[in-house]
Amino acid sequence: MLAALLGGGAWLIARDRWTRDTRHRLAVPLGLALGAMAVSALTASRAWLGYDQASASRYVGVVAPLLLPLLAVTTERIAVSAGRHAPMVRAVVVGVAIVAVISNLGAGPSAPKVTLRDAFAAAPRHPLAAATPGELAPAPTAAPAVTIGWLREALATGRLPAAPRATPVLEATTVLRLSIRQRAASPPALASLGIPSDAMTAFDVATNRRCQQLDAARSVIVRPGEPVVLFGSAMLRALPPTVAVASQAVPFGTVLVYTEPGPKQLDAIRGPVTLQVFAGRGTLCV
Amino acid sequence: MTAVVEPAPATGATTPERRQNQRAVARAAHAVVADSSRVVFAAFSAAAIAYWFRRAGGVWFVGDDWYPLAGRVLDVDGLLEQHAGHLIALPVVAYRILYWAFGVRSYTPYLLVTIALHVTIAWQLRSLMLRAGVGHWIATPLVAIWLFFGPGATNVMFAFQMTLAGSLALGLFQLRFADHDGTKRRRDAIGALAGVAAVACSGVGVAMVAATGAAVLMRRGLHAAAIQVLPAAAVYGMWFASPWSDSETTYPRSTQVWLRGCGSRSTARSWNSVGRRSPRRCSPRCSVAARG
Repeated sequence: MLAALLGGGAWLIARDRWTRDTRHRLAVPLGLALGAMAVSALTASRAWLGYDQASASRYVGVVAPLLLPLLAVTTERIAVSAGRHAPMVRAVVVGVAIVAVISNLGAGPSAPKVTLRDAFAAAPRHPLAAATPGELAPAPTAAPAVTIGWLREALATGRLPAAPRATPVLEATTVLRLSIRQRAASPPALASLGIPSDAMTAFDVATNRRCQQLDAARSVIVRPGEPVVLFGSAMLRALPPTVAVASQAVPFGTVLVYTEPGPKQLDAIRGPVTLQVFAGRGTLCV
Repeated sequence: MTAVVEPAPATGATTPERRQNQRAVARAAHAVVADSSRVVFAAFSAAAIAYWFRRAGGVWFVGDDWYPLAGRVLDVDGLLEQHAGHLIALPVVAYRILYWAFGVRSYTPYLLVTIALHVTIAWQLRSLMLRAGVGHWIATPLVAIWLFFGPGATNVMFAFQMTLAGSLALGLFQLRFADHDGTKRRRDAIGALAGVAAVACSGVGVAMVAATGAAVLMRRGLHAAAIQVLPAAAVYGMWFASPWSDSETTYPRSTQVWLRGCGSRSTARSWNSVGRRSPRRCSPRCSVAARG
């Protein structure tokens, strides 16, 4: 239907005698349609994220309004050409719009689940927080920019949400978040594990005897000063005796877009920390 | 194209007085149509605000939101560092102000900005359509669809999308100011400024300025188009040629860290970028801590 309105109206406009007034009226709709094409071309050209990026919700939300004025102008032209039936055309447009609004109400992506509020509200209030290095990121893959130092400062200035309800699982998860520091693997850490510093992929290290592909869950004890290196990503869970009950799983490693590429070094800030490493897409070197 | 409300030709002789009356009736009818559609659209807008707040209910900060909050400060680096290839200086300023005022206690103030931008865009679109000769009862329902446009929900429910929505709103603002006949320097200056602001929100601003340039070129010629395009192109071009636009990584290499012993926050480089650019505004002692 949209194509019919656009095509039909455009055909009628093309048949009109072009005056200065016509050009003035069409300037904005055509300019915006050009902008829509530019946005689509630019987003589709970002092939490293996939060509389907052009149809991602955020870009659809940009392209659609840019095309609306042209659609409106062509629809109006069709209405005008209907002569005394123009009010009927307008009534049909109103009717279609009402149906479109109603049918669109639930469409599109849904709001994400709130996952980090409790974690960020709990971490700087935990007794371990004061003795935790400021640069440690409690959620290193989902929010690597948020450090415990920043959270402490936000808490001190009253900018954090209220403390969440304390539960054993939240306590264990907070201990995990405050005990493992993720950062880009340093050449010394890689060297200590016998990994060449230019090895950047899991494939490169697959044959290293200190490394193991994460195709099954495994338990690891990480001690301060003995970092482990993670290629790819994995979920970590703190286990007793480090904590009273098993913690929630926390993602670590490298994920698309939010973390820089390359292997990650996981340091125990305190410990030893007993971890379960699972759901991994990569290799763990211990 | 426009549905001009013209009274039917009167049969027989028409006096000037009668013609005047007919015009007055037509004007009154047009005003009634305009007013009623405006009221309906205002009601739609209010409903859309309520709808989007309800739909985004319970959302808290996620993903990209954290970069302007915890990953940047209001300095040259913080404003100009690329984010996924975009210049996002104005949204960073907005985030910093909102953080200063509300912290991260609630997502609502941040969400309010995005929803307000969404509704602003809708009003601007409707206004542009009316100026293009579209009737009120075609412009209003078409834009109403977009007010509740589910497939584009990401740009309304996530505060960080104020980057794209900001570019869109400011680009349309530029277009509205530049879309006129003759020389109106003040309007042109405001339009050009809005273009610069649009490119300072996200890369979508570039497309918006190009759209404005094309529209003004068609309507007013090359000189007027250049006035709208060149300031934004110069600003964006300079940024694009600068090291801040370096998109070697998807997200900024700089990470806001809290450094022990520094007593303040500073910008530090990760292992991947140590040595490329030295951290600024940081004492040597802090620099060492940041690198280590």
